[in-house]
Amino acid sequence: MRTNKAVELMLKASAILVVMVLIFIFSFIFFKSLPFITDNQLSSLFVDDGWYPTTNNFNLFPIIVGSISIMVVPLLLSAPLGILLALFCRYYAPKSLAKVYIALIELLSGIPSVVYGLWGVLVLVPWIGQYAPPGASLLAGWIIIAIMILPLMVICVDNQLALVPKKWLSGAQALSITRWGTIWKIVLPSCISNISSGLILQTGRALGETMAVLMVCGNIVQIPTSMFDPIRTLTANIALEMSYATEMHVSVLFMSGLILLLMTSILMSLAYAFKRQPVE
Amino acid sequence: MDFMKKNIKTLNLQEKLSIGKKAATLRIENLSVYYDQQLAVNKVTLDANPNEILALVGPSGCGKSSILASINRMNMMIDDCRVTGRILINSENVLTDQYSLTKLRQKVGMVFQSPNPFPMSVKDNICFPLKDHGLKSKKDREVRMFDVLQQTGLWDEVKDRLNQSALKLSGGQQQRLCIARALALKPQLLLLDEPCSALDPKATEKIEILLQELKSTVTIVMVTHNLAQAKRIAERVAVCWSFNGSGRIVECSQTDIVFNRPASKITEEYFSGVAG
Repeated sequence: MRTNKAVELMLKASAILVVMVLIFIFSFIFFKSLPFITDNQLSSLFVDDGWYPTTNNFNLFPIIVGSISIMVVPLLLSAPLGILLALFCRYYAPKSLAKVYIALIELLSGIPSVVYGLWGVLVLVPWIGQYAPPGASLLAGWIIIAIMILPLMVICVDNQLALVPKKWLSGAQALSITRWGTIWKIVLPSCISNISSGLILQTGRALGETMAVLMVCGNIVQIPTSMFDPIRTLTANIALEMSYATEMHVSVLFMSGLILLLMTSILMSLAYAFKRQPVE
Repeated sequence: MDFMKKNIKTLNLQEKLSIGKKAATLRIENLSVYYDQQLAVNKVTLDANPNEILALVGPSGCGKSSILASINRMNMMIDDCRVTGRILINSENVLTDQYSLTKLRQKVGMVFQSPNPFPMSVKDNICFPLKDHGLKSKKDREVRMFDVLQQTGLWDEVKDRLNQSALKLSGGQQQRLCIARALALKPQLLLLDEPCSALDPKATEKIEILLQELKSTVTIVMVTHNLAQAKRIAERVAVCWSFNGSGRIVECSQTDIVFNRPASKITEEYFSGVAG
């Protein structure tokens, strides 16, 4: 194939640039956490007496548990709802309504997380506090995150539904197959793996979410025993402590960044494993 | 008692899926199709009789497919599409809202240009629509599947891979599976929109032979670009032509008359390659 040298050079340069940035970030975080890795045993992250960074007690385990719990439950809440909403939009709602609806959902996904956090602090937390003080809790985090990722879920599912070949749908129409029959036997089986893949990727957002979680979860380092307990996540921990951390403390914060990166990579590989080539 | 009850139930179901009913007569009267005010089909009148294959031929954009898609009201799904006139199947106008769409789609089967088996097993491609239409007994569904696969000559080719994905079949097999799928609902009229245009000559031949056999049980209306195909298998041919963007039928008659002594100058020029 003939190519234009200048264009090719530009494309290659930008491709290399992105890879360089990625390598730079990875190695930066790694080298910054190296003092902790070499000085202490990694197991101290799990066996230390607690998270008291000023006295070199670095038990991150409760915080990791916090991060995982803030991610899993919202996924379970918003994934089914997201699938149902997207199905409604595409197959049940009148076209004009569906258009408006999708536009609204896209708008919803554009709201900055601090705004959700503000609503959480001023409305949700006091409301939960009435029933189970203090209010700032795992539950508050779940609700906020579930609301935040719901529009992303709907958009992601809708994108996959749009890829279902039209000829299957017209085939089903010509046979007068019921709407639910079409969805259940033709549409969903053909795209459920890609939907799962997309949903897992969106879950990565819940893991990385900082501001809203910081505002509504109470930030107490503990393994929650009920959903009304306050918790702290890895992201909130970094945001809260980076301003005054010194020496080893800094290195541990970078270490927690590395753990976040690792968790995201696991999610990505899961998503990749679910992904299927569309069949034609 | 129970046995009798079951019999009555089966009978109702057979009635529902119109077992044993004869091929339909189709009459299209003054059919016009508009897409967003643009007249695509202009006052077409056309007949198809039981036990015959009617071929709709003509150049691209002359409204053949629009006529076909009006018969089972497929084009009503398209936004801004408006259909006027009457389409009578066994003397009943199917273009009214009173005529149930489910009943219509069951009575009128459709096969598309590119084979579109569902992304499921060969068996489910036939059995799932039957189940969706309320045929509850698994045995009944499987008997019906066997029948239509036999009828379409697929049984010997697929009997060992009924549980494999239908998408793994060859193009010609997929298209015959789509015909079988339509036949499973016991239609009285079968619409085919250029069913062989995506197939090689060998697969095309098989489908043509199949259609010849099927016409004893179902009336067939087929759109084709392939004049030789129309000549080979159709009893009657309708020539469609576009006048200022609106399709009309210029003539419709016995195949040998249309090909050998066409009444219209347009037909003559189209067949000889001068126009179209």
